[in-house]
Formats: sequence, structure tokens, C-alpha cells
Amino acid sequence: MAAIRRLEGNLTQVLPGRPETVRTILATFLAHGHLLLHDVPGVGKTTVAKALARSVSGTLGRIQFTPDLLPSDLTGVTIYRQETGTFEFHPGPLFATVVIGDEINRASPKTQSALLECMAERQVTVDGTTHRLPEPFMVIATQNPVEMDGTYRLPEAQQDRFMARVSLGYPPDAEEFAILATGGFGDPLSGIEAVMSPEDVKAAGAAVRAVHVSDSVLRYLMTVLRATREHESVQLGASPRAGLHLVALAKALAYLQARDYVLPDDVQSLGVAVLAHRLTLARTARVEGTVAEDVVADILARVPVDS
Amino acid sequence: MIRAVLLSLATAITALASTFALDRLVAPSLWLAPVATTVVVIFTVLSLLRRWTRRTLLPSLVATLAAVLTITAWYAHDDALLGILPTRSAVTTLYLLFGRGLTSIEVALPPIDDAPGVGLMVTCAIALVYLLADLLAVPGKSPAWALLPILSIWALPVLLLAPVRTPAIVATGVGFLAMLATGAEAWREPTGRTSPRRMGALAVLTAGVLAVALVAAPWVLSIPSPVRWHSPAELADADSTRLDLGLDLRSDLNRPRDAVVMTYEGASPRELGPLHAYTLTTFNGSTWDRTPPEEWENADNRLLWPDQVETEEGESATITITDLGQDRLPIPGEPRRVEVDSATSYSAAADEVRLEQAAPGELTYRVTYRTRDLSAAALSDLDPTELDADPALLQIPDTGYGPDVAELTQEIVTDAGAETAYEQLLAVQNYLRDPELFTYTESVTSARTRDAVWDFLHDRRGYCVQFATAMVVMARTLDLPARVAVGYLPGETQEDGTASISAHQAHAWPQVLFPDVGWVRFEPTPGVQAGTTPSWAPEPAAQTPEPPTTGPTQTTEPEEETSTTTSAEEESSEEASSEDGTEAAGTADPSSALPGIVVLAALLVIGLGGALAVRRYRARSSGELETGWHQAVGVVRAAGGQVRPGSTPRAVAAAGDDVLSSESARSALHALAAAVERSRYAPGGRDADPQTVREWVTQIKSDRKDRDEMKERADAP
Repeated sequence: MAAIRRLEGNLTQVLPGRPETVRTILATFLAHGHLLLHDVPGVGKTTVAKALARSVSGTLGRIQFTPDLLPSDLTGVTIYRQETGTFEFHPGPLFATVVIGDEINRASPKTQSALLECMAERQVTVDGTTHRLPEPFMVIATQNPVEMDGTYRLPEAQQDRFMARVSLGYPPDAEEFAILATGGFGDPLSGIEAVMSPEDVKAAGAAVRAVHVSDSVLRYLMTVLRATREHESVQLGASPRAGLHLVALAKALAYLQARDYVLPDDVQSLGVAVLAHRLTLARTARVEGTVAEDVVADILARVPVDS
Repeated sequence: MIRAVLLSLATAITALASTFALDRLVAPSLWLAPVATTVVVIFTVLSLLRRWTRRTLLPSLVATLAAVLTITAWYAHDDALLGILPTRSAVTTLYLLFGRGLTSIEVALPPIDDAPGVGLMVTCAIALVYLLADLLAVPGKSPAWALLPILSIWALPVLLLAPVRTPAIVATGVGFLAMLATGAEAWREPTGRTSPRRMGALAVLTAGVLAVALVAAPWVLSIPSPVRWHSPAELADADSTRLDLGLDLRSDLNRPRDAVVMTYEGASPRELGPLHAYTLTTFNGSTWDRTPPEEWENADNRLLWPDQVETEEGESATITITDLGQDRLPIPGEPRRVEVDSATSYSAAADEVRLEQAAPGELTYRVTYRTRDLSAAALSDLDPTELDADPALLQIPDTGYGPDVAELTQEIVTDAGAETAYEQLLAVQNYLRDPELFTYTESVTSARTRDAVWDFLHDRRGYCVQFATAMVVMARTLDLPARVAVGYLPGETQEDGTASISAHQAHAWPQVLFPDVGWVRFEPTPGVQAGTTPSWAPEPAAQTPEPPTTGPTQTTEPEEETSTTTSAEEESSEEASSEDGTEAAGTADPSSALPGIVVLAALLVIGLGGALAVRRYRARSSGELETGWHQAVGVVRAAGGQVRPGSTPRAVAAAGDDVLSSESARSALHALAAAVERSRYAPGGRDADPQTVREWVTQIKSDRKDRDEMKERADAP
């Protein structure tokens, strides 16, 4: 638990003034989920990924998605060595603890799906040979919110693979002032050291899975999921996978708060992060300017917790 | 916490006190030490564990284990590892001991005092009862229901009709009241008030259950009811007599302490014969009616005999009563004259002499009696059936088994080739005296049918009261007027020429009314207690009459029966059983195992009920918690707090912080929210104590009252 607290401290250093966001990112990591960042450029997405990778004594893989990116550029290639007469596998940037996929919606759907496959399977198959990806393994992908030229929207099924979507957002005033005062010369990653070994991460993951979820919380969660499917502004509601992700993430959040059981409060504080990016709004609602976050918030306010 | 310990302690005391209900069945020397140790161990383990853990069932489970270790240490010390850990051989030892205990119960007469197996059984039973009762009382919060396992101990003396000492009843009652007092909150409603309606319903329910258990069930199952109605006269007499053979055929002979009742001189025991104090005529199938006769006449200086017979001066004896404790003078069965210094009256109907004032300490009186000619020849010529006798003397109890008894009697008489009434009576007497058939014991087997005589003729075990009653009923089936006389055997002559009679010589015997000579004694009781047969009713010299081919078999049953029908095979095995009354294990009489089975079933039911009660309590207390929470949410909402359907307990508590005015209400709301959270979402659903919940809710509600008052004051000009 102490290691987890230090890890939280490391992330707080690179994301000052946003404890809920830090907690969600950390919970996603512990719940073996992948994260979708929904931000404008330049708010420190890469820094967060680097800090996380360094803290868990892992490596960072970085992929800048472009329209001409091919799947083999992610996974790696097999090369024939003439001097030995054998085939050698050169792993791609996916073989890292934390992989940051920048502007994921700029790549072609084919490449996107290659990424999503290894996110789900945690393994890569190149030329008939299967290679396990390292443990832990987390993809942090970013999307640009603004509809720019040369982007493909992520299909719903692929959005669904991401456990949560968060916005880092702009730093609060005091923190931004401090950043400006250092003039950008201070290294945001200074003093960030490895605080957990892969074994520690594994043990923490096991502890998270052992967190108790009562039937009443599960019933509440089901009601929430059902409400997203029946909401008037929603065309496509949350999938059962969304529910699984929400449970796993709520367990991790409870664990981070040193509780051995999940509260509906956990579900509520994660609801927007887990559900909003999976909903497809009805055309009329989009026209009216409704956003998915509002729909989820509305549902969470209306679904009674004590059934 | 302290309440749980006290409650468990009260339960332990109640269970221990209840064990003494068995002391007439199993001698305390067999069980007192192991039972006390086991109960103390269980209590200690329970109390310590409840200090350390909030789990409900864990303490009981560990305490069960501790009880097993304690019992192993007591009963299989040499085979156990380190003296307490049960090994294979220790388990075998315990198992064998248990089996021996079962055999002892079959064979030995209560109180059992030299069978460690029975001690083991008692110890196990009490440990189990205490564990169950504690489970019901402490985690189950239903001390009232905890009486059920306790009562299962009491079921034994009730079923076996063994007398129980008053202190055991009192201590158990006090213990139970202490349990109720320490666990009293179980009776409260969520509002915190005791509901009169609920108490009323409970009282009605209890009365109903008691009525069914004590009156209706025995009637339906045709076993005697444990409830007996005593006439006031009987109650008045109850303490005044030392001559109480407990003329209930269903109860074991409960001998009083052996004190000298009287001494006499001037006649040998053989000449004087038994002295009767009173006689009994009315029998209801299991007890004799002890209502005293109504008509009394002056007894001064006259011949005391129901019929005025010609008399001469005969033998005489001087009797000194040292410790009679009743108002009837023991008198010989012959026509007699009684000279005594205090006023007496005489009842011819019952042939009893009554002292007008209870004897102050010692009392000496002189009895002159005349021996009648009661030779076989003289009696053979007399026919009691010709007498115009009181119909009460021919009354056969209306139990439905009269015809069966009559049939058996007829068979005995026919087998013996008896023709005259005298021969018939002799045949019946000697049938009952036959050691091959009947065994004298001071304990009786539990009832199978409504007719104690029929049961006795079937079980063939009993003491003088059973023998005498059986002979009276059998004689009545032959239309011979008969009754039971109760008094003393003549005792032994000491060296100084006086003879003394002790309380142990209390006895009952049948009397049959013959024409001309009056009441004639017979002696169907075999063994030590009976003394010798009267000279006119000799035993056959060393020849055993053929037992009837068809003994009593329960084929003709007036009502549905609970006991098993005895097969002819079993009948013969019983007849073939060895003379000392032991039966081979395995051919045990199924009916004697019945109480054990009943108790076991009851314990099982109680165990299940206990588990259910614990669950129900949880549901109820969480119900209480939810009700309280609902009220608290109402208070917050009324105070203007932001409460939506989706508000979690935490969110409500946070909203309460903004709107509740008093600090105590705010902290109570937070505590309540935390409790609701724990009960709803935590593993195992840990529940808050209902009492505490009520206090929190009261505090939260008081905040609203304060606010209303403040508002009133603000509005006031």
C-alpha cells in the first residue's frame, strides 16, 4: 500500500491539483485497463505516461499515429539474418510497459484494430509466432477532440475496449503559474523514481481483484447500465463489457482508498469516465448540443442507490 | 459487549441448573465435574472470542471445538494426544463408551451411578444444549427461544416421569429470567417501545403451545398427560403423609428417607401381618383417587370392622408410633379393637381409623384383633360375585383396554384350571409373582398406552403399586370386588422382643371382599418388598405355571398408537431374557429409545431454528437500520438538504453537514451513514446494534425539533 501511495505521489507531481484524475489513471492501471485521454495537445499527456512507466520500473513505448502507419510498425517485424541463416524478431514499440498512442484517430481503421487486438489479448502474432507482451501492459491513447482533417472516428466497438476516458484538462491557476514561472526549464519528471517492481504491481492487482462487491452495488450498477440503454437521448447504450470495466475500476478505486468493499460512491465517481465515451447519442440530442457526460451525470443523479 | 457476556453467563447457569433435573435419573457424581468443566470452558471461549471478533458464528464453532477437547480430556484422556487432542483411538474409546452408556440406560435402574458412558452422554448433551441456547440468545438475540434447547433437557424427566427437585426448577427459572432481563431489547419494536399487542400475542401463543403440548398431544397420542389435577383434599394431604407411595402407576417409586415409623410389641410380625393406613377404591387407569371417605363414625371402644362379625378377644399388640406424619392409624387387616388416648373416628366404607387431632410426637395405642378362618377350604366355599357390593369396587377404568385385561385374566384362570373365585384369585396372584415373568423394580418404563395396568402387564416391571393395582383390576374383570390397601409390612422383630417398622416398609396390596369373612389380603408383589404370601394364599411349590401362549399384544387398539406393535418374536425374546432383567444389547425395546429420538429430533429442530433466528435477526436489525436511515434522510430533506434518489449515504451525510444545526446530529448522521454503508456493502453485512441506531435517529430528529423551536422563537414578535 505504501508503494501505491508513492506511485500516487509521483503522478500528482506531474498532474498537480487534479487528485481525482490521478486516482482514475492509477485505478485503471491497477485494474489492467487501458486509458483514453481526451485532450487538446500540450497538457502533459506524454509526461503522465512517462511518469507512470518510470514509477513501475517499466519502459515506455511511443507511437505517433499517422494515416500511413501500418500494423507492423506497431508490433515489430521478423527479419532474415543471412550470417546465421535464421529469422529474428525485432519487437515494435508495443513491447513496453506503458505505450502511449498519440492521436490514435489519425491512423487507418486497420492499424487501429491491430492496436486494439493486442490491447485485448496482451499478445502479438507476427508471421505465425506469438509473442507475449510484458506485464504490466497499459495503453494510453489520445484523441483530439476537435474534428480535424485526416482523422477517422474510432468505431464504437473499439471505444469499448478502453476502460476509461479522462480529460487531464488545464492545470488550476496556481499550478499553471508555477509552470510558467519555471519557464518550462524545470524537468517535470525530476525526482521520479521507480517505486514498484512488476511483482508489486501483480500483487496489487491481486489485492484489487479480492475487493468485495456486494449484491446491492451490483444491482445498482445494472440499473445504471439499463438506464443508459433506455435513456431518450441515447441511441446505443452501455455494453455488458462496460459493466465489467466499471466493476473492475470501482474495485481498484476502493482499494486505493484502503477499503475492502465497493461503495455506490465509487460507481458514481467513475460513471462518467467509464460510460460517457461508449454512448452513441441520438441525432436529435446531438443537434440540441447534449453531450454524453451530461447524460451519464443525469442518470447517476436519478437512479436510486437503495433499491 | 458486557451484555453479551452476562447473557452467555445466565445461559450457562440455566443449562447447569437444568442438568440437576436429571439427578434422579443419573447420579450427579457421574456428570457434575465434567459438565461444569465443559460449560465453563465453553463460556470462557465464547466470551474471549466475542471480545476479539464481531463474527456471529465463529465463537460458537470454536467453542464447540473446545468442548470436544474438554470431553476428550475427561473421557479418553489416556488415548488422546497430549491428553486432549482426539486421536483415532480416543474417538474409538468415546464411541465404545457411548455404546456402553446406551446399554446402561437400557439395563440399569435410576439413579444410574456407576456408568461413565451415561456421564459422557449427559456431558455431550449439556454441552450441545448450552452451545445452541447461547447461539439463540447472544447472536440470535432471542433469549426467549433459547429456552427451547434448555427445555429439551427437561423433556427427559417429563417423559420418564421422574421427580425433579424444587431447587433445580427454581434455579432454572431464575436463570431464564436473568437471560430475558439481560436480553430484553429483543422484545422492542423498531420504535423502541415494548408493544402490548406483541406481548399479548406472545402470551396467547405460549398458552396455546402449552395447552397443545401438555393436554391435547397426550390425549391424541394416548399417553398420560404430564399435567395432573389435584383435588384440594389431596393437596392438603400431600405434605401430611409419610406414607406416600405416589399412587401413580406412572411414577418411579420414590422412597422416603429410611426413618423408623413405629415399633410394636406383643405380636410377631407373622401374626400381626401388614398394617394398612388407608384403602383406595377408585382408579382411573393411571392413578388412584385419594379423596378421603365422607362418612365417619365414632370409634371409641368398639369393634372396628365393616361388617359386624361375632368376635372374641384375640391377639393383641401395643403399637408405638414415633414418626407417622399423618392422621390415619395403621391397623391390622383382621377385625380389631383400637384403644388409644385420643379421639378417633372410623370409616366402615374404607376401613380406616382417623385421629381427630394429629398425633403430638409419639403415640401409643393398643390393638386387639381376632384372626379369622381364612383357610383355603373356607375361602373356596365363598363366592364374592354373589355379594351386592358397591359398584365402585367393580369399576374397571375406561381406557379402552379393559377387554384386553379381561381376556388375559380369563386365560390365566383357564390355564390354571381355577374354578372357584378363591382359585381364580390364587392363579392371578401367582401369575404376577412368577419370577420368570415379572421383575420387581422401583423404576417404571414410560407410558405406551393410556392404561398403566395394561402397560405393566406388557412390560412386566414395576413395584408393589403396579402389582397390587394389576391384581385389583384383574379381579374386578372377574366380577370380584377388590381394592388396594396402603400401609406397612410388619417389619422385623428385634432382639428385645419389639419389632420396628421403617418408612422403607411402606407397601400396597390388594384386598378382595368375600362374603361372611370380609376383606381378604392377597400378595401379588414378588421379591423383597412383598414379604411372604398370606398363609391362605400360598405360592405354588417350585412349579411355574405355564405362561399363557398369547401374552398381551397390542393388536386391538382403541386409538391410534405411537408405540410400536410388539411382535411375537420380541415377546419371546423378552421372556427368554435372563433372570436379572438384563437384555442383550440390540434387542433393545424400541420404545425406550423413543425419548432419546424425540430429544435428538427436538435438538435438530432447535438448531435449525437457531440458524434461522440468527438470519432473521440480521434481516430485522438491518431493517431497523434501513428504517432509521429512511427517517434520517427525511430529516435532512426537510431541513432543505440536497437529497436526490441517486444520493449515496455519504452524499446524504455531506448534505446534512450543510443543513443540520447541531454538531451531535451531524456526527450521528455520519455514524448512521457509515453503519448503513457497512451493512449494505461490506462483506458479511456487519450490522449495527439496533439500540445504537435508535439513539442516532433520535439525535438526528432532535435537531429538527431544535430548528422548529428556533424558528418559532424567531417568528415570535
